[in-house]
Amino acid sequence: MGPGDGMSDAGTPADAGLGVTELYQAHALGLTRLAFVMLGDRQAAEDVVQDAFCGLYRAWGRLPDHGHVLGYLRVSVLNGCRSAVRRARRVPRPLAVPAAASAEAVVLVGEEQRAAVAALRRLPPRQREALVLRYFVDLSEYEMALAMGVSRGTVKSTTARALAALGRMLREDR
Amino acid sequence: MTALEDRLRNELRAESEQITPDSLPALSLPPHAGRGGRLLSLAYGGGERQAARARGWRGWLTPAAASIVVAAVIAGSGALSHALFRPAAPGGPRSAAVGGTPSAAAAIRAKAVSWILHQVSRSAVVSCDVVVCGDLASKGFPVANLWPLGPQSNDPLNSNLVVATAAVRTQFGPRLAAVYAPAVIAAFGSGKARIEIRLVYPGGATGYRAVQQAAARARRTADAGLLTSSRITFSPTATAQLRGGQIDPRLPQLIATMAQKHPVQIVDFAGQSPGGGPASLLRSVDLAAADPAAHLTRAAYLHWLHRLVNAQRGEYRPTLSRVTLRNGEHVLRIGYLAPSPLS
Repeated sequence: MGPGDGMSDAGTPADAGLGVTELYQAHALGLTRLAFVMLGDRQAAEDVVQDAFCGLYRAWGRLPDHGHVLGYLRVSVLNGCRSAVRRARRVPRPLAVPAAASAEAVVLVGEEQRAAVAALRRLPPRQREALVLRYFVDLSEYEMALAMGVSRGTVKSTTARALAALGRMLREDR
Repeated sequence: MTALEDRLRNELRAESEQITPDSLPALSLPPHAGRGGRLLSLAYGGGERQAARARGWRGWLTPAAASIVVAAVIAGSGALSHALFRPAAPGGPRSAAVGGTPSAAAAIRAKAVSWILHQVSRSAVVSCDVVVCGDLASKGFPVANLWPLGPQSNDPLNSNLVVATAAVRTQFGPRLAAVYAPAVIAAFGSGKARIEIRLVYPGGATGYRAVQQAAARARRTADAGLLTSSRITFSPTATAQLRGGQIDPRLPQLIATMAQKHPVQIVDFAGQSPGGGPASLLRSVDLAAADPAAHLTRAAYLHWLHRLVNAQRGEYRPTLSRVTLRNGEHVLRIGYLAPSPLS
């Protein structure tokens, strides 16, 4: 894999900085994309990933095994996404939104084409997480269970329920 | 793999590719805390911070730095509150910073904070004194987008809005309105306790006036074009509001997009900016809950609107809500967050 796999134990701040920076270069894109598909908000996704790497940097000296750092980061990002969703619920307003494109018909076309993603974002967080980890990150059930902190059976049932709900939503939206 | 799984996989991949490698921000790490160590200073150097601001008018406050800022803001708020609202010494003059009773000033501040939380975009950078920043941070406004002002702070030109309290007015004096933030978009209270939400414009008052007049003319021209559409029905009030160039320019753009698909019936435009001046544009529109000409059921019409609104991005993404007006009429309200673009 990338940095972090088989990385030697590093205790000094300089080593931690170097290690975390290497990991960021290798995995920031994938993790930001993961947070983005979870949240639908670029700025929030970048914040979540930045937080995850800062958390890793602080915890560097305490990590028992630097070989599983990517898994640690993935869990941090998922936790960050859950927190962001909770914050967004508490305050009934959109999250900070990306300074990007405008209200154009082109965007409407894009939205039509990504109805499944739009429906995915209306699923409960756990179900959304399961589908993203399964179909975007391509994790196995075992890896999903580790990332979500649940049993494999729960992963299976959550994924099945989420797929069924997604199919229902897409039929209703038609 | 089923067709649904395949579709989901493809859509997720396509969606994620909006994040490109060259658009990722640089990593900003906090000072190393060590085992049980303490964080001693803000997390990042000026260069990275300026670069981050240049990227998107927002700084990368790492969690450690954010917690320090929050702690400082909260500690500072106590100190400043004490300084501003301390009871007058017997026989001595009352604190010159704020007039009125502390509870009245606090009530005005609560109104201003509530307005910001409900009406200001979370992506806007807000400059404020430590008390207001503390209130905003504690109520969920992104700490990274708060720019605390104080004796050691720079000018507020890095921000989009300034919350002009007595402390801020005292700090910047007439330069606040003349140089940094010439336009008031909302105001609360009066006298020394008055709080204004001011729009930062780097060109100062003179530059702003010149641009504002041109922008108002551009808005009136664009809005007059909307009035000629046969697919949009306007109430007399809405017609007058459009002719006056008082509408946030994002609304006519959205309405024109909507009208391309289905007829639209506009009940009214509204603004939620108490005490705002000419810079306070009307940022929301009330639409009839269903337009018979659209040949859609009420639910289908709402669903279509919902999808259209959700398809917008960035500052062009409004909120959509169902509202019952005082006359009992049910309307769909589409509203944008402040600050409004000029044109």
